[in-house]
Amino acid sequence: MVASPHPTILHRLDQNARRLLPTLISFILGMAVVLPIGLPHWGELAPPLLLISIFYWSTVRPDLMPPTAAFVLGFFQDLLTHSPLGTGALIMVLTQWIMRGQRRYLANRPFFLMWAAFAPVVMIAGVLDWIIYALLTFHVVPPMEALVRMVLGFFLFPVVSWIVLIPTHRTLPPG
Amino acid sequence: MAQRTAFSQNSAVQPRALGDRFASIILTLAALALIVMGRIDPAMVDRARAETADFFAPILIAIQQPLATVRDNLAISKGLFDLARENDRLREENARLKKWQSTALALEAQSQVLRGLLNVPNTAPPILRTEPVIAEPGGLYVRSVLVGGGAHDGLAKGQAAMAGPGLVGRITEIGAWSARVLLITDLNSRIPVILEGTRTHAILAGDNTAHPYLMYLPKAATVSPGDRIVTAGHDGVFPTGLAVGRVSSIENGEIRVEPIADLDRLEYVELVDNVAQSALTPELAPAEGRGFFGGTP
Repeated sequence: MVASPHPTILHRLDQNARRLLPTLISFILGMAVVLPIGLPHWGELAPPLLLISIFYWSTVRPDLMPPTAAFVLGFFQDLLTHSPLGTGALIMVLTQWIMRGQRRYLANRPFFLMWAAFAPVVMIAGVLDWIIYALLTFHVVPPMEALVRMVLGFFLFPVVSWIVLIPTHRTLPPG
Repeated sequence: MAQRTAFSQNSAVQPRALGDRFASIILTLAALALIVMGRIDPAMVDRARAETADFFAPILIAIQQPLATVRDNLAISKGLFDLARENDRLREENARLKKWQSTALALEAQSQVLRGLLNVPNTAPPILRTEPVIAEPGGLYVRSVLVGGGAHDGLAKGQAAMAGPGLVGRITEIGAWSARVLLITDLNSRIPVILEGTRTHAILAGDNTAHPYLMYLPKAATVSPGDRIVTAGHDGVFPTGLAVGRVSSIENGEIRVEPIADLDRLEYVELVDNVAQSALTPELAPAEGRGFFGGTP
């Protein structure tokens, strides 16, 4: 039998389920940050895994990472961690906003271009986070930890991409 | 044909781009509104957090077992390298501790006799429950852990949390199935303590570093590194005499304390009830809740 031009219901269900993968993966990465996995300072440093995921999906598949999804994921992370409520939501929405227009410059190009583009994003996100906290609490925390977090996020970007994001990207139906 | 496809694609993309831009603007404003709202009504944010934690507690508790395996494997791979040395160290420590044990037993017996003579109520804090740490939701600015027990398990706001011999922090948010413990290293942690040797009162204040510092210590007080710090308990929230830490450094009048509990690697915490409460005679105890002592920190 020749492959039917009309996809079966099962096939369509499968395709639609796959469209939820970017959000789901972001959710899991956001949650992983608070798990007590036994690495010292893991919870304190809270590597920006959610930012990595939202940056990646907004760039390569903005259709599957709409602004609302970025907002909800950021908000969820704010609730789960104890950063000021709204900070994560703001950072994720802005990241999605900026990156969704960059697809033609970064998708299907050498990976290091995307990695390089992540550097200013993680930096601005860190500074924004730090400034909002200082404004809200009138307390200037030493910037060292925020800096360590940015650097950590930058170096985790290729790791998370290669292990989780790129393999998932390959299984997604075309947009 | 090609032109038509291009056109139809374009017209399909255009409204979407507009819709996304509109959504982004609205959501940015919404996020800013949230930030302001959190500033105006922190209590509401705390409630929302407790409820979120409660909602995810079952998932977090369910993955404790696999997580423990991960932790153990990490520990084993680290430990295998110096197993022999570790054994030697433990044997030596064991011998030393046995000596201490006999001293402690003798002192306990003596203490009990003296307490009996003076009619002092037994103030050993009753351990309510031992709960697993199910999340470390600190982030950069908060030092706290989430434990897998809540109001349903008899826990309440203000209770002290210990890990082995040392104080960890106190419960600041409570849900039905989970509770947040603010660590003694947190910026907002203030705990009345006394220097065990001299009985000098002070406040142990956190500043998000690994070593909290002593505040409001009388100028004349003599402090030296190694002095033990215990809870004072006169706030009516904490039991008296829980071990907290040792003075680790004194620099420019700033006295830093090294916590006894290993706050970096908390797997379980013991929740301790408020002794001031239980030591009260029933007729003096407040009819309901903990408001009598201003027990909510």
